[in-house]
Order: sequence, then C-alpha cells, then structure tokens
Amino acid sequence: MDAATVADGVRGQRRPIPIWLVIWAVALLLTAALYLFQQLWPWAVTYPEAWTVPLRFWVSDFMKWLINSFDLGLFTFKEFTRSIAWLLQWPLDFAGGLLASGFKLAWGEEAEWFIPRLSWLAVTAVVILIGYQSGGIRLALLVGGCFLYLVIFGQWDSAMVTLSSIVIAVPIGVVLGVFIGILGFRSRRAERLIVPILDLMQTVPVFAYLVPVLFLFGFGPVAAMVATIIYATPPMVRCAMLSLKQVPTEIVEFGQMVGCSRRQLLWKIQIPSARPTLMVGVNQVIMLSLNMVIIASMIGAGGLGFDVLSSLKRLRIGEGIEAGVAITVLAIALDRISQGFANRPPSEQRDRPDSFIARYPYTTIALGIVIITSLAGTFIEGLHTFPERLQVTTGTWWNDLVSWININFFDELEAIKTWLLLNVLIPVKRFLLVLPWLAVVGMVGLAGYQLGGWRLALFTGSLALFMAVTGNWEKSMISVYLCGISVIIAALIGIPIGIYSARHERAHRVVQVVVDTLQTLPSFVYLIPVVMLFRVGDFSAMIAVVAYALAPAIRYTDHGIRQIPPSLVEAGKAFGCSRRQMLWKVQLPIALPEIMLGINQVIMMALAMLVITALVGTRDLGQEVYIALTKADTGRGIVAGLCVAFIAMISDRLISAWAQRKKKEFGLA
Amino acid sequence: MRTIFLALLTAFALAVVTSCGKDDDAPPAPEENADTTTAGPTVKVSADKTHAVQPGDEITLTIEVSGFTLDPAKMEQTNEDGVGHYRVYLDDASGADYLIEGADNSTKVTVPGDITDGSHDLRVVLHNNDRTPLEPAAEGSVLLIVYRL
Amino acid sequence: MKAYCRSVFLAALLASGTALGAAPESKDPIKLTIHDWTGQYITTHIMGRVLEEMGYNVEYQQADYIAQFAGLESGDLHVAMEMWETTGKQAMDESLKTGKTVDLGETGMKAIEEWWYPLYMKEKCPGLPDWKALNDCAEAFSTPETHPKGRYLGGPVTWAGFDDERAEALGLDYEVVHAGTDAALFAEIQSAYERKAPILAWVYTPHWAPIKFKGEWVEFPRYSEECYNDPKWGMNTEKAYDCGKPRGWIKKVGWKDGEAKWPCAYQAVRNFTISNQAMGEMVGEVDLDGKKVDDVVENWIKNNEDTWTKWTQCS
Repeated sequence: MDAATVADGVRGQRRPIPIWLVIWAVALLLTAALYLFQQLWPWAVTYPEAWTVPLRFWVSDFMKWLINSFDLGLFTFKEFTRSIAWLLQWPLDFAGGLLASGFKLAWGEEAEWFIPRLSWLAVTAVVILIGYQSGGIRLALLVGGCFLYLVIFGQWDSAMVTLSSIVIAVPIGVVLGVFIGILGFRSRRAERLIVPILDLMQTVPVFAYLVPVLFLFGFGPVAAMVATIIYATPPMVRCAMLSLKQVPTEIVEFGQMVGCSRRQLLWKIQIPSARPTLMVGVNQVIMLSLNMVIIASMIGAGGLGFDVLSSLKRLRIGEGIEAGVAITVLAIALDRISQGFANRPPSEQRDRPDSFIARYPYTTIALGIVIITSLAGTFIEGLHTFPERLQVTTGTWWNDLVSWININFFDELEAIKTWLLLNVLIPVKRFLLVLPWLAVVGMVGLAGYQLGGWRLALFTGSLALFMAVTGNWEKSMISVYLCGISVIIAALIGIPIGIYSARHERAHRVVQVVVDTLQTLPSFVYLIPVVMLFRVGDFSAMIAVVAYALAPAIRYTDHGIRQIPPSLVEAGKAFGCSRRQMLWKVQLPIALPEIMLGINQVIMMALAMLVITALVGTRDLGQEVYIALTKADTGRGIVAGLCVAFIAMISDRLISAWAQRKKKEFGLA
Repeated sequence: MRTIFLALLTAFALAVVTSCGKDDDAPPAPEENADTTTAGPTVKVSADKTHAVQPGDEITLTIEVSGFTLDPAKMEQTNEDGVGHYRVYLDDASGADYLIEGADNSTKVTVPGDITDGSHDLRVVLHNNDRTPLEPAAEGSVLLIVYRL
Repeated sequence: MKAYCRSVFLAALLASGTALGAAPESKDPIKLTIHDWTGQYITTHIMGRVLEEMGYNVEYQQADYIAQFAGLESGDLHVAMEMWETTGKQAMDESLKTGKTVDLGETGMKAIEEWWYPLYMKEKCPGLPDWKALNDCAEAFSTPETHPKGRYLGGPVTWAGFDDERAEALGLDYEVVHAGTDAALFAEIQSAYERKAPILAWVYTPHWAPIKFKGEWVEFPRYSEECYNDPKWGMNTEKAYDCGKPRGWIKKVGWKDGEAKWPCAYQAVRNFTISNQAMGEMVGEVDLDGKKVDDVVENWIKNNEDTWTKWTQCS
C-alpha cells in the first residue's frame, strides 16, 4: 500500500453510493414487511412445528445402534472402544499411582505391598529442575512458586490427580495431532476431510459429545480423559499441518539433494524444522486440557475440578477460589515450561561424552533427588506428605468479602443491572425473537454472497436453515442474543484496553498477566459469587461470558496495532498526523482486520461459554445441551451442539471473508 | 558436577528444615470454656429427634445447666440466686405460652399439632423460683426440622 | 507388513477386552455411584465401608443423578444408593421397566422438596404458609424483572418437579425461574437471607439448607397420584399438577445381574437403613461444622457396629 492511498483515506474522498447499500435496504424492507403482515405468511415468521425434522431422535437411534449393535465382524464397536479404554487405563493408573495414590501390589490373598507415591518434595524439585532447564533461573523460581502454592494451600492431593490425567492426555493428544497433521499435510483429500471435522470438534460444545463418550468408554476417569483428548487435539493438528507447510522449500530441497527417503525427510528434516510451531501446538493442547478440568470432573475425573464444584455447591466460595487458583497455577507452570522448550534454540551437535551423567545431567539430578527425598520421606513424614498443620487457607476471608459486598452494595448493583436489563438486554432479546426466521436465514445468505460469492452464501444459508429445521430456532436466537450482547460489551471494554496496552509497555505486561488469569481461572469459580450478587438469569450469564471473552479482544487488538508495518506509521508521521489522528485514521483502520479476527475469536469463546452459563440458568442452546447430558439423551445434545457449532462457523466464515477483503484493499494480504 | 552437588545439598537442607519445623508446631492446648463462673448460667439442650419431626411427636430433651441449679421443690417460692427451673417454648413464644415447665434434666415434650412445616426452635429458658425469667436471659435451644409425611 | 501388524494389534485388543469380561468372580469391584451432595456421599460411603468389612472390593464412581441409569443398565455401574421419589421417580420407573435394573428397597429416609420462604417473610405476608396467600403477596416476592408477578426460583430443569405446571394449574401469579445447578440455587438463597430480602425457592431435606436458613415450606394441597395424572382431580378441574410435590421415599437401585454375581453384597444393600435423624446430624457436621466427611463416616461405622453387622447376615 502506498502513501497515496493513505492520503486519500486521510482526506476522506467521496465515492458513489455502492449497490450493496441498496440491496440491504431492500432486504430490511422485506423483513419489516414479513413481520408486519405476518398473518399472511405465518409460516415464514415462526417455524411451524409440523415442518420440524425430528433429527434428534434419529441421532439418538443411530447412537443407540452404534453403541449397542454395531458389529465390525470380529467384535462390536463398543467392545472396540472399551478395549481402548482398558488400554488407556494402564498409563492413567500408573501416573495416578506415581503422583497421587501410590501402588497396591497384592500377592495372593494375604500379602499386600504398598508403594507410596512420590513425595511432594521430589515432584516439586523435579519440576523446578525442568523449569530451570527450559527457561533459566527465573522460570525455575516461577514454577517452584506455583507448585509450592499447591503444597502450602492444601491442594496437593487433588492437583496430583489432575496432573496425572494431564500428563497422560497431553502426550497422547500431541502424538495423535502430529500424525493426523502429517496425514493432512501429505494428502490434499485427507486435508479436505480433516479441516471441517476439526472445525466441528472445536465448536461443538464438549457436553454434547460427552454422553456418547461415556457410553462407549465406560463411566470413569478414562472417559473424562478421552473427552479431554478430543477437545484438546484439534489445535495440534492445525499447527502440525501449518508448520509442515511452512518449512522453507530450500531445506526440503536440500534434504532431497542429500538423498533422503520420504520417511527420513519427514522425521529428520521437516519435523525438526517445524519444531517452534509444533511447540505452540503442544502449548495449546496443555491449555485446553486444563480448561477441560472442571467439565472432566463432572463425569468422574475427580481432582481439582471436583474440589471446585463441591466447594461451590456448599457455598464455600473461598475454598472454591483456592482450588480454581490451583488450576490456574498449574496451567501457568505447564504453559511457561512448554513455551520455554519451544523458544529454546535447537541444541548444537557436539561430541557426545561417554559417561551417562555428563550426557544427561538434568535427568541424573532428577533421579538423585527422587531417590534421596523418597528415602528421607520414609523417616521424616513431613517430607512425604506436607503436614496439615502447616497448611494455610484464605477460604473464610473470601466468604466474608463476598458477604460484605452482598450486604452493602447489592442495591446499587441491582439498580445498574435492572437498568441494563430493562433498557438493553430484554429489548434486544425480544427483537431477535420476533424476527421472521425466513428473513434471518435470507439475510445470512445475502451477507455470505456479498462477502464470498454463492458458495459462501450456500454454506451460511444452509447452516442457518439447519437451526430452524431441527426446531431449535428460538433457542438459537436466544444464544445469538446472549453472545451478541456479550461480544459487543467485551469489544467495547477490550478494544480500548488493547489500544492502551499496545502503546504503553508497562501496561502491556500487567495486562498480559490479567488476561492469562482470566482465561485459565475456571469461570464457575466466579460464577457463583456473581449469582449471589446478580441472581440467576441472563445478566449473570452475560457477565461470565464477557469475563471469558475479554481476553482475546484485548490480545488481538494489542497484537493488531503492534503488527502495523512501521513504514505506514512513518508515512503517517511524514504527513504530519498528530498522535490522535495517527490512532484514528491510520492505526485503527489498518489494524481493523486483525481486530476483527480477534472479535471472531471473541465470538468463538463466547459460544464456548454457553454451556457453562447453562449452569447458572439460561434458556438457550447451552441449556439444551446440559439437559441432554443429564438425561443421557445423545440425540438432543448432538443436535443442539451442532447448532452452536453452526453459529460459530457462520460468524467465523463471514468475518474471515470480510477481513480478507479488507486486507486485500489495504494491500496487506 | 557442581549443580548436582548443589541440588543434593538443597534437598538435604529442605529435609532438615521440614523435620525441625514439624516439632515446633505442636498444637496449642485446647482452651477450656473459662467463663462459666463469671458470665452467668448456661444451658445446653439436646433432643433425640430433630429431623423429619411430625406434629404430635414426643421428643425427649436432655438439659444440661452450669452455674445454676434446677430444683423442682423450690418452684413458686421466693427467689434464690442460682436456683430455679425452666420453661420450654416453641419459636418466639414467651410468657404463659410455654409447652412445658419443669426442672428435670430429661423431659418429654409433645410437638403441637398445628406446627408449620419448616425450621423451628425449641427454647429452654431458665426461670427464677417465682416464675419470672432470669435477667439477663439464659437459654439454650435445639433446631427442629418439621415436615408432615 | 503394516496390514498384518494392524490386524494382530486389533486381535490382541479384542482378546484382552473380551477375556476380561469372561467368568464372573466375586473379587471384581462393586461400583457404587457418587453424586455431588454430601448426604449421598455419606450414604454411599457407609455402604461401601460395610461391604469392605464383608470382604468385597469396592470402587466409587462419580456419575450424574439421572444419567447414571444408563450405566446401571449396562453394568458399568452397579449400585446407586439414593434415588429420591420426589425427583427421580420417573427415571427410576422407566429404568426398572427395561428389566436391567432392580429396586433394592428404601433407605428409610423420607424427603421433602417444596417451595420455601425464610421466616422473616412471614411478617410481610401473614397468610403464609397457606399457598393461597402467595397470590396476595406476589409483589412482596417480586423482583424488578418479574414485577408485578412474583418470582419463584426452582431447581434445575432436570430435577423436574413440575413447578411450571403447578404455577399454572393453581393460578399463581409467579414466574418460575430455573437455577442451572443447586450451587446457583443456594447461592441466591444465601444472598437473600443475608440481606433479609424476599426469596421463594426450592429447598429440600435431608440437606444443610433448612438447618442453616430458618424458614418454612409452603403448604400446597397434598400430593396424590391422581393429582399428577388426572386433570379433573383437585381444585383446577382442567389441569393436572394442582397440588404439592410428593413427600417420599429415598430408594436404592442396582444393576440386575449384579445380584447373581455378589448375592450377599446385594442382600446387605437391601438391608441398609438409616434414619433422617442420623443423616441430618451427619450432614450438618460436614456441611456446616466443616468436619471431614470421611471422618464422619468412620465415626458412624465405629459407633454403630451392632447395627451394620446385622445387615451383613446373609441367608
């Protein structure tokens, strides 16, 4: 993009009225007509029940058949999945025994040998060592501090249960992701099949496929781990495919010149070169697995998620917060460690010395610490299990704080909430509910056509039609309303913060920490205090969604503004822009596509939160999925889950298409 | 080599510190209820049935008083400091609206037939010999959860 | 080569999986389901400890209250210790009809789940606990969003209870709001109770809530089966559900084939009884006094040895 176009934008030249404005005006008029004269076409306004396709019953029947009778010849599908579950049970039990519960070995009827788990000191020391190896002394201290929090605040036992599950799930997810990614990289046909499935896996709410997983893999921690793997693997696949594609051709050509077979090329050249991006994928797998902890505990994973839920059910808010912070702390520790390994420059090849100790110094130290502390732990109890007397809890303080806010500020908070509800939320909700469904489907298709041709129009239109046809229109509209308002509020709050932090370095660092915490602290933890202050209903749900979706809004705005090519900023300065003009006329318009991609992510996160907000008490698709989970109704859950996924996909495609066009206009694509 | 040595040293130091810390943190001796003599009489009540109580149920109350003597013989006589009897009230009732008046450590109370479903307090209030309540008031209570089945 | 390896792998999987399910022998762990309220945790752990004393292997598996029936029917889960008549009756009846589960008798506890208000609301609404007073006090129980209608906070939709139908059939001027989980339900009750604000909500017992919050239950017309099934019954001759919720049993339910596998254990489960009194006290100790639930369970086992040894006598 050259300086001339910038100049045009700055001066604000007038252009002729585009034809699309006319088309949209006509579309809106038609919608108004449909609504006003609805007696003439009642079927176009409210989807008639008689036309509803009973998809959820078909899906339920299909799932019943799949689970009970699907015969693969030698064995049924269920036996197959149960065998996989049995296989997965072994590493899970091993990790659980090592970290959390110890091993019971029974010889015959009488003798029983109990091997205790690793002591807290051993685990903490090893983790500190890994931190040091990954990122130096600072990371070691951070990680050490995180694990000491677990010890001192009495979260150790549950944290180890959670950690053992993560420690098994993440490698499986990574390996699976890499293999599927390689498949997608090698064959275009496979890629065309894989990418839509990935989209679905990332947008269908977890609760929707939880019930089939329970049936197929049995009620237990293994089913929870399988669900976690399904949820956390897609980013790894995407990263693998992307990173392999991005390997510079020179390196590939070099490999071919040197005479590598295809296998050697892949494993010895392409994958090592792709390591940085692959590590980003690993990082994402870890983060998503920790996000799943609460949901996993609802189907029997135990651990920290169970602690959060049971504390909050007894209204022990403080204990719930401490368990939630333990999850956050684990997430931060694991995240920073994996990022440290990702950012390390690849080690140089040197002459390998002979002795084992010199080649693997860290492993040796780790082994040594484990042995010494385990021996010491048999003599000194406090080393093995941190004594309860030394444990600390701030639980009651939090309870008192929430009570204090409740008693003193409830009326003021209620006034704000009532105003917002009566003047903003409820009118928007009513408006969306009375819009004729035909008009909405039509307009969605129209937008698709404007932004991406008839193919996109067909895609978005048919996805929207699905929601009407399966009888979920009203609930879908309520979900759209809830997410829509939350996204707008999150954008209104997040974009200014992002702009500020992009221009001030110190603010940026503080904002990073806050954003990280918001994304990893389980939202159920602050949902219950929110319900205490704002009651069950849309408003509490909205607050939870905004809090969660704020993070990407801030991040992407910050990133977008920082990414603006310096040449453009200089051009602006050359034209004499003040700081304000620079922001409004240069930086924001150019960063807009990036910001819109951030809004896209905001929408995705808002939709993902829908099922969590069902725990508060909404009446939308999230509630449908939740009810289906508790009633073990697979069809209902999957169909409602697909509706959520489709809302996500429609908005994703439309926004991506728009952002792509804008980037092309600015010459940035 | 040095890092290995330092790590082992740290582990050992931690071990020593933890084990030392263990002995010093003996829990403080539980405090006795020291205020019985100076702060006036106290009443502790327990009941044999407090959950799923039905109207008309007979509940056996066990009453423990300290700093006071229950004497049935002294009822309706002149007041004496530290001697008297009790009255059992339901919820906020007072005055003559009592369920039972007596001085035994164990007594049976019948739950009224018109009691509402919900939480109710059975209050045991100490009275002087001349059937006036103690000033300052001394009472103990037990919570009943009533619901008709 | 690849295809051969793959088929060997699959065959090994199959063999291992099916071999494990072969001959039933009683050292297999009995799986007891755990939900997320203290009372059920206590009941299940007491039963589990007794079974352990009898020599059985016991495993506790967390599962959802209604969804667990799928596991009980397939044999993934074996015994569920608390099915409440007030909320689980339909699901239980449907499951028993499949023939794969079996009713293991009552636990001896009787539950109530009903519309509840705090005691301080009695001053603002003198007609309570009679349900007819509710309409006169609709404004007292209203919130700005539901004004002038009153607001009743019910349990999660999955608890059923037919409160929406009840409000309609009895002509109550109230909006029925459903909390998503009981955590949200009790969070609101606690919040209102602290501020002495109006609240009308679903409260049940055995539970810690009626102990912590002083209040009373609304008296609706007494439940009967006809009330739920026959619209002509009751004061509203056109609609059903014009009465209160049933006050009823808490039963145990189990996987049918388990009875053949562990006959003595199932007999012990059938013999299990516990009173409202014992349960109420234990729940109070854990949820309000902060005692550790495992300690409370151990205590009960220690102090009631005579009682539970009687359960273990097999015929």
